[in-house]
Amino acid sequence: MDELEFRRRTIAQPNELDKELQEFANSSADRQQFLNESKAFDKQLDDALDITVPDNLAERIILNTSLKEKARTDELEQKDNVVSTRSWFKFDRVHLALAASFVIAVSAFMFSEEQSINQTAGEHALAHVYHEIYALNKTQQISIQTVNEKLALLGGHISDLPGKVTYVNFCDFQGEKGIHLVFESDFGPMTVFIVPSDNQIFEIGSDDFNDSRYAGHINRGKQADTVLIASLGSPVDMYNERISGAIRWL
Amino acid sequence: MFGNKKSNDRVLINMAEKQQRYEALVHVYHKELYRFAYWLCNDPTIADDLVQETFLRAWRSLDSLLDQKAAKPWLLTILRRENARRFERKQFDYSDVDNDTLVDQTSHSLDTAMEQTVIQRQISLLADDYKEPLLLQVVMGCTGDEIADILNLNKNTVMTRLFRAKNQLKEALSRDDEQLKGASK
Repeated sequence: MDELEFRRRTIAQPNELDKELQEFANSSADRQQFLNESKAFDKQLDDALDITVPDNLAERIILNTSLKEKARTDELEQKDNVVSTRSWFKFDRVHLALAASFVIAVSAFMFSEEQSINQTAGEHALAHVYHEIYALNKTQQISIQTVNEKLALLGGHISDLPGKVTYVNFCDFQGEKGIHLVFESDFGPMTVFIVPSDNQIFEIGSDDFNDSRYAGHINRGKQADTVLIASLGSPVDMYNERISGAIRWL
Repeated sequence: MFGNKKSNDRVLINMAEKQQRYEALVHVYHKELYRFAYWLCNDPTIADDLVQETFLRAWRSLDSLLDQKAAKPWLLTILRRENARRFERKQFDYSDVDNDTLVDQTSHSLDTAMEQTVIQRQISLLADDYKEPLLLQVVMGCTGDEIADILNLNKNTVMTRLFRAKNQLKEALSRDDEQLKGASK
């Protein structure tokens, strides 16, 4: 190790000295000072490059990915369905019936964009619940702050929810960006969709709806529609006012 | 069909786990990556796009990331490839570095602010061969080994480039310093 080599390596990587270099630095006050100056210079560079990162970048990344992925998987599934229906055709009736019902169930959601004229709000909401059914199985608590970070992008704020929040995500409701949230009500997991009402996504159909498994209620608001969905028999109405009342809009 | 229930549940759990892993990755690395991208291309909009695209691709190949510790170099590799792709697609017409966006919002004093602006300008003037290892070290906190891996160079070359980059900056800074002093006389 000579002085020149020491200086080169210290300037290049002052925070990554190997043992040999460190010992060499320790053996003289001048070298020690040179090392400190080099570290200070790196810090100066770091400070100069420390620009502010745009607000909500992380949220936007996650939203962007989920929207693009959904569009892509929808497209792939659509192709798959065509292929699998054909190959299943050779099997027995049960398989054929299953294939058919699967195609209908999936396409009810997939073609929702085109069929939105005919699809009622309730059908749309239920299809969305089934499409992301895994959201109901989560147990880990999500803070109300996290919910509000997302809700803020729609211009809303929620003070409280009557139960532990276990899922929150941005979702695409026929092209309208909304929030898909699940909390643990006293009657099991309850899904809440909060979707801006600008494009009247939930315009058609009655306020109350259900199928053989779930029941729901739509609260049509000025800024956003709030949809509640829970297992059939749950007192959805009881929660309706509490939740709609807890959301404030800017 | 009924036997599939279990495997369906498994798929759903895996998806949820993947989503969680992904969101953790975004939260840990998005700021560093944005800064790196920003100084790489000197444009906030392009930097934003690059980081978005990087994480989208990361999601699509998340299964190939086996070791969480390798996440940073892995993301950087994706981002650099995306940046290179940008040039294949279209040669962007760069405007000069916009001083407004370069001013540090947390500046302590006029001197520091001026000095930081000078550093920013000088870094943006560095050749890519020097700029990239420097940004990887300073902004991303990469070690020499990591930089060598990401840039596909040997360790000594990385060391030499870091040394030269910093030397160039130091020279430029002392030049500017003298000019400032000269101007105030």
